[in-house]
Amino acid sequence: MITRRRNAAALLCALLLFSNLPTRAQTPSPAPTPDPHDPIQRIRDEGLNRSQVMQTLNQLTNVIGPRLTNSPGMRRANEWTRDKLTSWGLVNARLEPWGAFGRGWVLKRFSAEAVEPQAFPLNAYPKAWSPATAGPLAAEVVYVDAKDEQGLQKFKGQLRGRVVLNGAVRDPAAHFEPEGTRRTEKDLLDLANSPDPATQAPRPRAAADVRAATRFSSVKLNFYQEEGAALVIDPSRGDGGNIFVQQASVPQPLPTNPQALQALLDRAPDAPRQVRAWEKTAPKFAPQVALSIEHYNRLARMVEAGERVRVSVNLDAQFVDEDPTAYNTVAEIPGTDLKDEVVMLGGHLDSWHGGTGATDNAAGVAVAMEAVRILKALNLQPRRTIRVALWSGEEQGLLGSRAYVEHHFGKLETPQPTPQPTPPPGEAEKQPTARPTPAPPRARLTTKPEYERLSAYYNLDNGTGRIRGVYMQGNEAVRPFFRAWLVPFADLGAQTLTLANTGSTDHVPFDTIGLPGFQFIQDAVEYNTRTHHSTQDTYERIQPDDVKQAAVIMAAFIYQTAMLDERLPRKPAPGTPGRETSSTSR
Amino acid sequence: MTRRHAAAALLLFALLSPHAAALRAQTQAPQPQPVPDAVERIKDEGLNRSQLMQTLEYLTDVIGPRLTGSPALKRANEWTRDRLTQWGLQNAHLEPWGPFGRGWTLKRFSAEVVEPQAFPLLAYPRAWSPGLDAPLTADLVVVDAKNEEELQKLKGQLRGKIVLAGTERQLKPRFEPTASRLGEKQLLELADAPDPALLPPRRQRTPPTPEQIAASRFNDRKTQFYYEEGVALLVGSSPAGDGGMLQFVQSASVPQPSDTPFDKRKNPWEKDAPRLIPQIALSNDHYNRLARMLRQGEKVKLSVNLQVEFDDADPMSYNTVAELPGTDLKDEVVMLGAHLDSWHTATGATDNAAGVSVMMEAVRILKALNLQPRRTVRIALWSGEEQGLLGSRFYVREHFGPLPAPTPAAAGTTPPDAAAAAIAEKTGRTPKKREARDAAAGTPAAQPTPETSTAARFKPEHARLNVYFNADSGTGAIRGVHMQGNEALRPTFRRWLLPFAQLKVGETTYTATTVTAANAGGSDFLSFDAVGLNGIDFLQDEMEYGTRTWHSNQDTFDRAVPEDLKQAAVVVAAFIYNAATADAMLPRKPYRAPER
Repeated sequence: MITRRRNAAALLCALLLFSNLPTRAQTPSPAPTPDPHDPIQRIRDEGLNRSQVMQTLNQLTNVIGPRLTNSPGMRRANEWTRDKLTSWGLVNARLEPWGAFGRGWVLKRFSAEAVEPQAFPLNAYPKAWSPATAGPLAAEVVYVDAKDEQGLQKFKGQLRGRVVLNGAVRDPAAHFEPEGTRRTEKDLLDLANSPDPATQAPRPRAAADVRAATRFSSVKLNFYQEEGAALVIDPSRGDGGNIFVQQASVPQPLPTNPQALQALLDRAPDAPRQVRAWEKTAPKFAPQVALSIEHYNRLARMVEAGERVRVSVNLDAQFVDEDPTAYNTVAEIPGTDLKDEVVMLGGHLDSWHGGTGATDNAAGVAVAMEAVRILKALNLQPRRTIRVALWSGEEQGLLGSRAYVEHHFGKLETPQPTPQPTPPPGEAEKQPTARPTPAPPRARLTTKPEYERLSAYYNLDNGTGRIRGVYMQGNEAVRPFFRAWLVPFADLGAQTLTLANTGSTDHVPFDTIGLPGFQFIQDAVEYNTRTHHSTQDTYERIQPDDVKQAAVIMAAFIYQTAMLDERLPRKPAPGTPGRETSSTSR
Repeated sequence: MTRRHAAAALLLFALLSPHAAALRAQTQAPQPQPVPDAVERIKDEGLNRSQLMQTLEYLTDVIGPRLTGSPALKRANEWTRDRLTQWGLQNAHLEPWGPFGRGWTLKRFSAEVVEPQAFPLLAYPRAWSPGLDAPLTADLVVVDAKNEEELQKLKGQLRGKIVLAGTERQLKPRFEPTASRLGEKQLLELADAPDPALLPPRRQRTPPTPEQIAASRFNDRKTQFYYEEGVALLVGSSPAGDGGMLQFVQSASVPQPSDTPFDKRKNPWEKDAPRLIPQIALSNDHYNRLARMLRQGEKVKLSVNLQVEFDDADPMSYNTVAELPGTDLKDEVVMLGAHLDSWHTATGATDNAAGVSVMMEAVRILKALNLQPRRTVRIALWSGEEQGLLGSRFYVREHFGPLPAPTPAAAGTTPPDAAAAAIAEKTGRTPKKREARDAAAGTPAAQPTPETSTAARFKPEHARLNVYFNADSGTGAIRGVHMQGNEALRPTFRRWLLPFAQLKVGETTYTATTVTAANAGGSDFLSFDAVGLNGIDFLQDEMEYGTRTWHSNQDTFDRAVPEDLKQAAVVVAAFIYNAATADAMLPRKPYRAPER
């Protein structure tokens, strides 16, 4: 209904404009000059002409460097952002502990070289929380190209003290498509026309081949551990010397219960917990390194050609156990008549360790910080309290924001399904993929008083690209507000509102319990192709004009939300009758 | 109009002045008949029983980089000689040229930031850089002195330090693909290109401004200062490329005034080169980060281990040469070749193991099919190409005629690489090879010039060489052929390309139809062209040559496209077979006396 009425209105507008055209052409009226006292115009002016967003990014990426959760770099970033926000006049800036995360990890030394039959430096990067080598490790390389468990058997007894090349070579193709892209009109139109996500089918379970691959990776890792391999080298995805690198995987037995195994391979929410590399309880295991595909392929092909290849790897890393607690940086601009109500914005301060986490997500942090700096510099007094939150533990599963939301706002609890009796092992092997899908259990929402006082949370975490619009997360009621707020930014390319959901970042915990949590639509630039979780996620990849634009729009949205008479409308709370919870978070 | 007249004149000239050898060829009898379905058989052998990728893999993955003078190049010389012998070629041998200078092999290399935080650096030593006596851990400093006075203030402060002495380059997102093939527009421009001799002379480079001269002199002075002060290591930036790519990291710099004429420049591979400060280059991402850390007042320490081995046992270098003997016209020769040497930061797959593999495969195909050539077919795999076409220039002087004695410096070691680096510097993107070649052309050093215009100075073999074919533009398929200003070749080349108008290899259909009068540049056919011989280069698809692999650490086997290379090998094999069995030698363009 709404859509049809809007179209009619638009048509009428167009007709009026059209009938006016000749007259307008004869007597051109000057374009309306922007009102310099209009807060939105002032935000634009401050954000585009006196931006400090690149200075913030420079400090976070080049000076502080990577900010792995609970590492000293992360702690330093927590403190620096707190102090910077204070220096800009925000109040109540602090590090808010969110729970015991685990061990910090910091690289102390790393080099990798091929040394025989000829010497060349290897473009490699250790996985986060990988154990160190005990001094430089020089050992022969074994190329394990096994495709299945049977294929693995021929390496029995071959791996002790050796360096394992884990997996088959991969052919990198020539790039006939650009790595850098911006959203096309078609992309944006598809988003604009996307249906209510509540009407969409839930995400399908992992495909059989994906589940098999997950299982085999785990089997291989256990095999290497049992066989006493000295180092495991993975081929990186990507090419051109790029390395995508995240955390080390802990070798550990797969669940024997077939249901539990299935849940694990499906990456289902009720999957049994696996030990992670940052946990103190993780067993000892061989160090793990990711290698650029060009070098990985060369080593593998040399081995295949019968060459005896030796590498030398020196990996020194320090685990930090003084304080297992992790922190979010939080600071506020206090409101006035509605100061008990809150508008939040944020990005995540933690990063992976291979680059300097510039686009993921120093960019989002710098934009959120810049947005509040702009408001403060202009002395634009909000009615509601504005609170910026810079999360940590995002890369390990939105941990900082989840804990924050649970602590301040509430929790959606899904009762554990009653465990099914374990069938005999033979039975399970016959039907490895048959997993009965029980009816989703009803979730229970428990809220805290602050739940009613949050108007909205805005997040930015898709790289350096400028803002092109907003994901409404299925909340159609916010459309008129967002539409009006985007009007001043038509010339900056941000006009598209989509009902679609987006996931995988810190607005999800808010959205999951029915709070308005939004993420902006951004241009990709080179996010997925080059920078996301890679060694190339550096300051070089930041586009200054894009992040300035994003900061201006974020500041405007925050300000507008803080000045409304009412809170932003919400979707029906999850867990209430007529609404299932399973589809709201993705 | 002018263009057509000139072309007609050229053609007439070519027809009226046939070479003695060609005449002789026509009068000899009996003539063995060319095999009628030879090209179809070549296609079948080259596409269905190819061994090209095996050759390429051995050269790149097993032998590895093949820097001129290095033991690896010698190994490649020997391996190719033995392989060609094994395929049934005769007289396979290493033909010495030189002396070149010292060999250089990397023994160990790693570079890391260790303070204020640790991360591994993506870096590569420059070729012929000396090693470090021991792993070096030292402060990184940047010298931003603007004049001698400011320099003097640093006196005594640089001993044992690592100096950041490159260029901070702004890097841009890649909104254009790195890979491309020649489109119809480009092919049409090439097809319509006039005889290069008709084009107005290239604009001379604008002379540097006094400010530029002063800046360049002060840069030289800074370098000299580093030597005086005992700097332990010079850290430069990659001249092009970004992310995980370093491009144009080539020879170490020898301290000398930057306006030293090319023929007077000292090269680091020369035995009497001065003692150098060890030199490495960083990826631009890492270089920029270190520069910004220093600007923010961070105290940065690096740890670098660099061990190298110089090889002085044999100052000579070698070309690999082998033959398929001809029959009735066996005194005449058809040559084909590519350069075996490479730069050192990757495995020289597209520059130019690809060309070597294509040329070797072409003769393998002829031999495997027992397609008997009338003229002798000779394959030459050059070395010293990257240092200025040295191997081919020595060869041409030795066999054909009066090129001046090539000195490494005279041949020019920088263009078109320097031109490419300059474009990269200015535009923030990596130029395509064609662009760099165009920019570099006109540099006197890029084109060898004979010392005399007297044809009498040529050797007897000069009259007996029909043509030399070259491949050195990466992994791309052959799309046509350059006539190098010799319009008289057009009808023949057009006929020889006919069977390749459509060639399906795997899933790709290739079109090789374009004959262009435009010159190619920058490779070993120039050595032949310079003495009036037919030195012919094929027109190849660009793929990712200029943008990714050319002289970069990304020049690996992974970038080789099997279908493209197989196509190239069959086209070359057909051209060689045709050139070796035609009754007449190919016409030559009038020999133009070089201007002295």
